[in-house]
Amino acid sequence: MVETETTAETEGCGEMTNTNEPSDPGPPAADAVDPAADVAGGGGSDRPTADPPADADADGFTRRVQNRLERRAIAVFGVATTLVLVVLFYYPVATVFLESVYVRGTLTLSVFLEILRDPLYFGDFARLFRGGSPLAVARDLLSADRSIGVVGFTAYQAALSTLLSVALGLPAAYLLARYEFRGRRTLRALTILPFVMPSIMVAIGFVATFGQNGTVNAVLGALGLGSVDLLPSLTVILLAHAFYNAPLVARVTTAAWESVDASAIETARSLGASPFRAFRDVVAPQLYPAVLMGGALAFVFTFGTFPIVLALGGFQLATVEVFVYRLIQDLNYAEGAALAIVELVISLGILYGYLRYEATHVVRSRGIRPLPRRPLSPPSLSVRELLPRLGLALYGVVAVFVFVAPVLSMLYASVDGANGLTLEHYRFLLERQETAAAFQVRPWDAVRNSLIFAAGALVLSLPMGVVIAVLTTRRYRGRKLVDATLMAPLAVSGIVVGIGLLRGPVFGIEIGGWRISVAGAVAIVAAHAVSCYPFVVRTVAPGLESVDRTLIESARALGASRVRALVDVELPLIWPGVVAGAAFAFAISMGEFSSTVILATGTDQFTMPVAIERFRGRRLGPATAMGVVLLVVTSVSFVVIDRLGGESVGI
Amino acid sequence: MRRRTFLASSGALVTTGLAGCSAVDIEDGENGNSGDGGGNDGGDTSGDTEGSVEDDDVLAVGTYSTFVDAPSDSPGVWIKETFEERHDVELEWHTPDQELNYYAERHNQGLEIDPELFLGVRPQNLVRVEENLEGDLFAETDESVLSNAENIGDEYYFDPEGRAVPTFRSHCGIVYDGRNVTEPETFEDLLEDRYESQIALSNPQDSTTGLLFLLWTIDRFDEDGYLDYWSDLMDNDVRVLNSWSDVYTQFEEEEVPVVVSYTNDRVYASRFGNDLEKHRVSTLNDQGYANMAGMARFADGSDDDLAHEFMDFILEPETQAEIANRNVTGPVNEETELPEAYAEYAIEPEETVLFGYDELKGNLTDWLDEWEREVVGSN
Repeated sequence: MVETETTAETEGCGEMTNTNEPSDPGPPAADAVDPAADVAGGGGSDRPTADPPADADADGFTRRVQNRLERRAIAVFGVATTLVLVVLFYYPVATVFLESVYVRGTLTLSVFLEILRDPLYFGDFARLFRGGSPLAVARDLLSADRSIGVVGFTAYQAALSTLLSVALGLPAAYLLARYEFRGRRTLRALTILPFVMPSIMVAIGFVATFGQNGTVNAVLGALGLGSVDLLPSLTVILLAHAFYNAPLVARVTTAAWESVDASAIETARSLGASPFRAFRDVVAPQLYPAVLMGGALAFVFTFGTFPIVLALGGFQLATVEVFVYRLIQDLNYAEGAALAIVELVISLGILYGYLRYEATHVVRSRGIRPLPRRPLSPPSLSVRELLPRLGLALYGVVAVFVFVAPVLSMLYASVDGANGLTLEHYRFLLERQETAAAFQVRPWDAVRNSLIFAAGALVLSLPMGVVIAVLTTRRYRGRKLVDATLMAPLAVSGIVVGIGLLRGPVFGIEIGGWRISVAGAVAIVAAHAVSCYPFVVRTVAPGLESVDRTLIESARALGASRVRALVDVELPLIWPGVVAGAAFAFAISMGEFSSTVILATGTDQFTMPVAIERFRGRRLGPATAMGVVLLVVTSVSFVVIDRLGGESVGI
Repeated sequence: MRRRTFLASSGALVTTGLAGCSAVDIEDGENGNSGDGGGNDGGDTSGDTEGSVEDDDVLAVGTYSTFVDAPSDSPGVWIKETFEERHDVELEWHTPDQELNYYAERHNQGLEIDPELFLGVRPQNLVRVEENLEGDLFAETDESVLSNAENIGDEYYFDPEGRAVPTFRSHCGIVYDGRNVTEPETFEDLLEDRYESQIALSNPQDSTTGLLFLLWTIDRFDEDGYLDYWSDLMDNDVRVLNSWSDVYTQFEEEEVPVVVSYTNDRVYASRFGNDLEKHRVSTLNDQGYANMAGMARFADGSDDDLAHEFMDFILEPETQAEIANRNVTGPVNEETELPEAYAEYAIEPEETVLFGYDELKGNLTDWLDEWEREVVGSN
């Protein structure tokens, strides 16, 4: 923390080292003056520019005190955020990770070595760690009967899943950012739904959609096109991963697209660029970081994937997390922790690579006038108008099967009874509410808890994320490494976090003779915030980085504190990113399962995903009915917030 | 390392009673058990402990969550109400999400364990705990203080060290959709073309039915032959899914017609009014692998009287019948009168297969590791 505080001070002087200043051509600077002037006006000062120190001196005493407080605000929030992260994440995880190097009282790397040398995990690569010749290994890897091991396979399927997620996410972003049509905002709000879907629901939906008697085969059969055998297969796993991650790519890309300043394109066009050229040179460079971010996150999630892989693919397609899970479950902590660290290093490596890219591909933006949307119905029947819309129509067909059909089949399962359609499963939920014992889960309590926890997690994770984004977009050596480390909550194996939470906050941490334990509703909210804040950081940081530094410097020169500049200048400029992060935070919390069950001190703190798990049995009805409740509550929340928030909210 | 010798030297265990009870010293008896040298610690010798049970006593019992909260029915509520009524104590169910691992973790951290006992201990749990924990998580229970213990069938015992008292049982078996496939009668049948890509079972690493089936194949084909059998199974495109729920989901959705599940399946099917033709049960080679569950005292347990009262209550024929009805599992007390639906629809295999604690110890991890290496990446 000391380091960040000092940087706060140096930044206070308005001195910036622009070593990382990108060489990319930013948008034309012609219009730069306007927003800057607006912002300065909004800052409440009419003073002309002056040297920063002189300006500070000239201000009154109260102003200085206020400024000092505000200046400390970032540091204070930073310390608070660090504390929450340490108590609910880093310390707990460290207690488990330590077991990989501290075995039976001695420090050792032998557990890692054993894993690296195990062909089960590393296939032919394992021979490299046993001193095999790289050439021979390379030859084997190129041969037909190569073996890439579980780690290799996990990376392979994650890479494919990422590609598919991007391929299915981009058209959605294009549609949502560039076209106007009835229900556009509702559709955009509903793209959040996959984030709250427990994997058991997705498995039920996917079996019903892609199974041998599924919807897809029914449609293909009706069209006389035969049938496809998708279950179990790698393909269906990739589709399920895309179900979760394509909306992620779509949402972050849409936010970036909506932040593209229309005047930059107009300038390019007025200088003679064709529409395609203007897109390639002006719009696309502002989308790449978002697309890559979506891709990087999709990779991390699908690299750490677990239940859905075995639910749809089977053990032959087991991923690293499957092994981590069972090793920890079998109380083999040393090997489990070591494997989880291997998994984490690979995930964070990918994230780090992305962050390096992000840092060198900042596009300076100076305005927030978004591009006007086109009507979805073609204004004329020219090829240029029809072609993109035809593409979108084709995409729509695919989207119906991948995203809509699984959700609809879940709806169907919730009203399917032994003798046709029935509401008995919903009646079951009502009965449970009435008759459940104190130690049994109650549906309405779960709904209420989910909403309260999600709101709490949102309120907590938003400032956490923004502060971390501010601190990691400052210029200091190794900041991207820090940034990547702070993303660890996205990438650490869930079961490791679970055991860590038990050892740390639940059982209590011994400090000076006291055993302090943290559990219950507050701890759940804080733990949710820990899982959510990386999304806020990732959606806010690129924007912060792209805000023209001279705007902030002007505001600071005019006497605004760092926090004031952040709140009055930067955040309004990057608002779509903040809102995108908030939406993710809310949804992640709604869907969170593992830390909730661990930190809850009673069933009265259980949430909807926990209720779904508890209602799972021989019949699909009770769990899917609860799943539908989860979907409806989430949908209504998002549509209502969207309606209340107006166009500028755009969740 | 040999924990028993370590424990033998640790000497006496002091149990502190609850409010109103005095602390009781319990000498670590050399007499109480036949063990492998040295005594087992714990309260097994304390049947004679004086001290009345207070009216406001609380008995905490750990178990897994579906025993007290399941969408169909579960025995937790009935047991709590009836026991409280009869014994004038409060019964608290503790159902941590990590189940026994939660207590293993507390034990590892040197923290006390609240519940007196855990209900739902399985042979594989005992092996895991034995292999990975320092010291004893569980203590032996002296069955002479349990009046109903003498009626427990001999075949249900799985822990020669006497920690787990048999409580209820079920059998792993094949459930198949009789409308779409013929009955698989033997293990070899499952390898036939007619079942190609028609069978789903759950991951033995992480789910009970999967593990039971794996152990069953080891019993059938021996340590030397089971991997070959599995290789053939995988060649027949058997699906090894995450959990029993995933398997049963695919069965319910008619994605696969043959699944590894339990032989009590038809009890549920009749209860839900499902087509019984879809829910047919096969006992391969007329066998069924037993899914045994027991109760075991935590070594930290302090209230022997109350714990023993509870265990005895669970073993009463009436409670056993209630568990059979609500948990849809078989009783271990041979005096139990089976509930009608259970008697009618639960299938009893002619021969029960079961590896006890002794057979699993030292083998389980290896078997699973070998299995894992056989199946991962095979296609």
